[in-house]
Amino acid sequence: MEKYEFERLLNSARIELDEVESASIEKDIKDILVFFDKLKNISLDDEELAFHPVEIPEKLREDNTENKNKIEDVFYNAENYRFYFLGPKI
Amino acid sequence: MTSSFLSFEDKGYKDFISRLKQENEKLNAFNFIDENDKSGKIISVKDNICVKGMPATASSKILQGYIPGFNATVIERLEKAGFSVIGKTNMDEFGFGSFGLNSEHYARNPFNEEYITGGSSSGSAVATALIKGHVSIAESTGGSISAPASFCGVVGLTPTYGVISRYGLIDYASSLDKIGFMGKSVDNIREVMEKTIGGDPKDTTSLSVTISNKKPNKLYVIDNLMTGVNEVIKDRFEDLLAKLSAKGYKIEHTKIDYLEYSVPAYYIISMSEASTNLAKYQGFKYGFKVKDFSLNYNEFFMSARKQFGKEAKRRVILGTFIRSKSITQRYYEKALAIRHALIARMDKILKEGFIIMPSMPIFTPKISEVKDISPVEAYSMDMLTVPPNLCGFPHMSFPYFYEKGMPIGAQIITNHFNDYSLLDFLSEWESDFKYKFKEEIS
Repeated sequence: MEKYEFERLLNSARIELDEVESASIEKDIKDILVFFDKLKNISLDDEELAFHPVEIPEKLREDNTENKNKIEDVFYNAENYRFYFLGPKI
Repeated sequence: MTSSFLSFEDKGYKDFISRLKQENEKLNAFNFIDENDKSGKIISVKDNICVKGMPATASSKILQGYIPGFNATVIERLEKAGFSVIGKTNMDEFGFGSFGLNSEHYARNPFNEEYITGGSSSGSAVATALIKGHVSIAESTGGSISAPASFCGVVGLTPTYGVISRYGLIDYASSLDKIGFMGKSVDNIREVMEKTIGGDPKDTTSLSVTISNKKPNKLYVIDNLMTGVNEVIKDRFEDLLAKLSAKGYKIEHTKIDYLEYSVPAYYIISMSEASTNLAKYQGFKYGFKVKDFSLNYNEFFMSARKQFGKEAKRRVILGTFIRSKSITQRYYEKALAIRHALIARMDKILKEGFIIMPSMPIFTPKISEVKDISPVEAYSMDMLTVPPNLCGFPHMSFPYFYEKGMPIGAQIITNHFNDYSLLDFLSEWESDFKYKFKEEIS
């Protein structure tokens, strides 16, 4: 991974690192990707993809609207003002 | 071995807590101890499982100050059955670690404080070793129950994926996370397990299935898993096999294809899922709050995420990379295919018998020996705990030997939904095995 790719990746991941941490994590990530590359040369084209370890039956619910949430529960722990979360500008 | 839970009906709790706090100053088993009086059988809970009114930090600075206003389903069920939670146990941040060291105030081994506890359910293992008749509610993603159970000399049971609701669990990797138990008596573990198993409408991945107890008399040793195991551990394990053989178990040796790819496959899946699960920590809803509302969304988000520890940052960055469109086939889809291939191969063997192996490939290391090892070296230590976790098979680590005063654990694995057979095995094992602990708190 080139330096510019690593910088772009940090931006996508919304992670800001100082200089020392950046150098150390960049090196770790290169080593870990080499470790992951063990998978590169095996062929598993006939295998299905196991998204879960066991079969999870599809669960459906009635298409009814319901609102069980209480305002005080929704805002518990959150910064809020009247009926709104307080958050950053979009 | 029969052991009953500690309970405090009218008095004694304050004295107990005072003794526990004294020990906790040395061992850091708990992130939070509840000093309010308790009635009922006491349990402790890993700090990534929500208990109403108690802090839930998952040992992360980003969750400092978060107090859930609800109980996880597992806690709801246990409280209804007469259990009381005494506190929240230490862990690697969000479950990211095998040694217990990714926590600001990491836990220390109850047999010798210079040694690691194992992780990520480090505090749960220490609490279980420390407290008389204790069960701690823990959680495993890739070995977070077996590893600390083995290093701290307690039993750690990880159930089949889905049989215990994950509602109220601070998630790490949703297709791998399993709530489980640590204890030191089969009766206590069975009691807690029976009260918590079962489907839950609040967790769509939970399952309502009958859990069986078909205990086979065959034990399979997977030879290609044993190649990276310390030679002395191998010798002790051979002694264990001889003992089990004398008890009537037939020992068979076999090999399983693709096992050498299980650790990278596990980390690829878990990091991908972690990077999306951790996106919810944005600095205004849970725990740590960014108070500067003049920042734009990205600045605000990045400012909050500075609170993540180094391993959490590493996993979020890598998980984001793996999920990128041009890369996903190379890593993520291959990892899912490996999981599928391994489930089929292990299932075939598990239809005939248990799989047995050491829980960890090394003796318990000193903190100073592993504090600065590279991530790849650390991940490789999960070579024995990852296969059953990746594939959702129920498994249990149990202590079987003490080498120079430190415990060694072995791990048995059974087929999906045959979890109670592990407890039947343990019951038989406990009939002539004596657990060793330093003085227990009561």
